Amino acid sequence: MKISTLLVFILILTFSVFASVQKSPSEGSNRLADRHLSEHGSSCADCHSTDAPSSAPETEKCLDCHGSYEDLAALTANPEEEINPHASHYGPLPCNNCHKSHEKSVLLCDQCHNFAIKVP
Amino acid sequence: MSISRRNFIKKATVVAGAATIGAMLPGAVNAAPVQVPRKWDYETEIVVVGFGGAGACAAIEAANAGTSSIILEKQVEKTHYSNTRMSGGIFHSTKKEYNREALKQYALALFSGQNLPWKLESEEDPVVAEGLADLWADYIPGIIPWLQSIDPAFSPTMGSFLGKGASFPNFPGAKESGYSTHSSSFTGYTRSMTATKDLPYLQKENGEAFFALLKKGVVDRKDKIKVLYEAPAVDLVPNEKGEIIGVLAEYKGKTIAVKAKKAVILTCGGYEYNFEMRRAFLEGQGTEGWAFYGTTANTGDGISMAMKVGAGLAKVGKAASRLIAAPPVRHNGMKIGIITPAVGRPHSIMVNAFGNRYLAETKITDDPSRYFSYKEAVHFDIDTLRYPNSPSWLIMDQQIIDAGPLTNMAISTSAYDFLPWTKDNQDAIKRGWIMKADTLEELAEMIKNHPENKEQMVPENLKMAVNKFNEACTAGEDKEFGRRKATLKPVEKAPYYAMPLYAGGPNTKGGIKCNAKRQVLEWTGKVIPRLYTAGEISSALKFVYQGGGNITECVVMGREAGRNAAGEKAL
Repeated sequence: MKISTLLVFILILTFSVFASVQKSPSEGSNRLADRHLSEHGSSCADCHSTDAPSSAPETEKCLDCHGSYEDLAALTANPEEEINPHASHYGPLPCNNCHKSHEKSVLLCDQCHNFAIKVP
Repeated sequence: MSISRRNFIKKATVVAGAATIGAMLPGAVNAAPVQVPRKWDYETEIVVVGFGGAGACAAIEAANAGTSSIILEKQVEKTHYSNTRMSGGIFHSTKKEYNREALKQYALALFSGQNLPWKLESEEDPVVAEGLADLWADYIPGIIPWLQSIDPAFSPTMGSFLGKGASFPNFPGAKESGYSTHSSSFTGYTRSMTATKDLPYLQKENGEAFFALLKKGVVDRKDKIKVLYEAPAVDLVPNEKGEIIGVLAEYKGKTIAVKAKKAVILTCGGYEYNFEMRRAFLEGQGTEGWAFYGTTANTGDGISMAMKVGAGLAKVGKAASRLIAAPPVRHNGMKIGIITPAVGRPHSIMVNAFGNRYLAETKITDDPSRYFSYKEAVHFDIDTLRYPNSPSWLIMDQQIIDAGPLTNMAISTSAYDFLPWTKDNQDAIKRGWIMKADTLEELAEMIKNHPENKEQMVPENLKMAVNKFNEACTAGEDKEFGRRKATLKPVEKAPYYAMPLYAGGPNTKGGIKCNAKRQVLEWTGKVIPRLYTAGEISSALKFVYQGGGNITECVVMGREAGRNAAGEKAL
């Protein structure tokens, strides 16, 4: 009896911690999701469709606000460094390959290359 | 020989100890002349030696032409890691709009350079090079449809849609060719930061996806293609006319004779793990000064076998290489390397044995220089008669260690159980693969005491190199060497780390001499009848290398070899 109560308690605790992680955009650091919320006043639902997100947003959702992939490529064209992360040999990639909303963003290119571009 | 990690490393260490007494000699190829066997154990139309990308494409193309084949593969099926499989799975193609002549000219520049106005000579027989460039122009625009004919689910990345697809924009045809490069996947994207080796077929990416596709192509044609694993070929069998009519192989404890009624195709890779060939062919200190980050199964067997039946050689010393790290783990006495995109990252520099910077580190990872940057690693100082850059040292601070894995964990030796790596790099530090010290002075001493530095390190030089680099970071320009600006971030946060860097890359590229039909040639240019070749053992990219070229030629040259072999009249 005692053990099962404890088990239930632990389960509830685990679940609530999990749920709160789900709710918090990024544990208080300055991640993409935080910036969307603080700078643009968006809600979770703006990207995730629902306010209790169940899955990552589709790339189209990002492009709804940010313009086409070609537009983005024009924005990041960088003649000096000759590297344009939006015009790679991969072609258009899902945005969240590199731009992570709830953790540190990465540059997928740097798995093989060394472009050292800061990814917002 | 299943490779549990711990056992593997243990064994590798033991073997390293025995290295100097000849443990590194490749298995079975012997010098005695070969007699035509009285009885054949197997009969088929084509024998393919080596089940990598080129062998698979050759067998599939032959099967599509109604011709049967046996593929002899020396690895165990469970841990069958070919270089194709371990690669990035990048291949070349064109955009919908392309110019065939420009495409041919660009290929010709890569293969031989004979169309570059400043060049004294062609790096390949010019007629052969032209034939090969024609093949490139014929095959690569349709490479994706061909791959999808194996499985329509194959969905590579879309490729360069804006930028340049050609790595060498000043070469003839670079712009008009419509060149594009693609990576392999079933989703249209590659996004995994870790190995996809053990994931279901449709979730595989990179070389893992590419080879899974080819393997499916082979398995789906099992009425035409039979694969014998654990069956290393040891000899080619010529008849009295000098035609190659079969192969001897070791299989289940005995020597088997496999008759090839039409032809034999050698597609068994380079000599990355053949100690004597490395010493013979590679520049500089070919055994200790080099490392490779592909399969350990490439031991030059095909080169030995072809030489024995009179084949000539071509550009055997070629290897698209740079400066890469190699932990102290060996296979048959030779270092196992890791793909090292970290060279030139922010918060790191590279110095030579004496602690001096000598090169813009970004040249090791940037086009056009990256696949030729090994030339700096094998540099020979003509005054001191030393190799000052072998090994070089990657000097890092805590920030680069924290920024992510120093290797690409999705491909190469870390993704295939050879050199296990963790995202935070901590395992490698704990194992001592990466040296760590609280101060630069201590780090310099550790390098100086490293058995491969031979006490050449001058701690003051290292300190000075870091200071000067950090000043360049503040100034925003590396006046001394011209390192790319985005990477100018100082080495400043203790503790500090170091890893030795060697000349190396994925594979060697030479070199059985062959013609554009992929027939193996004697030194005189005479065809050795019924013997064909494709893949890294006879790479077409004899002048310069664009990333993905080897995978592309597995398809182009593998298919051509398979097609021509299938066209031979059966004996």
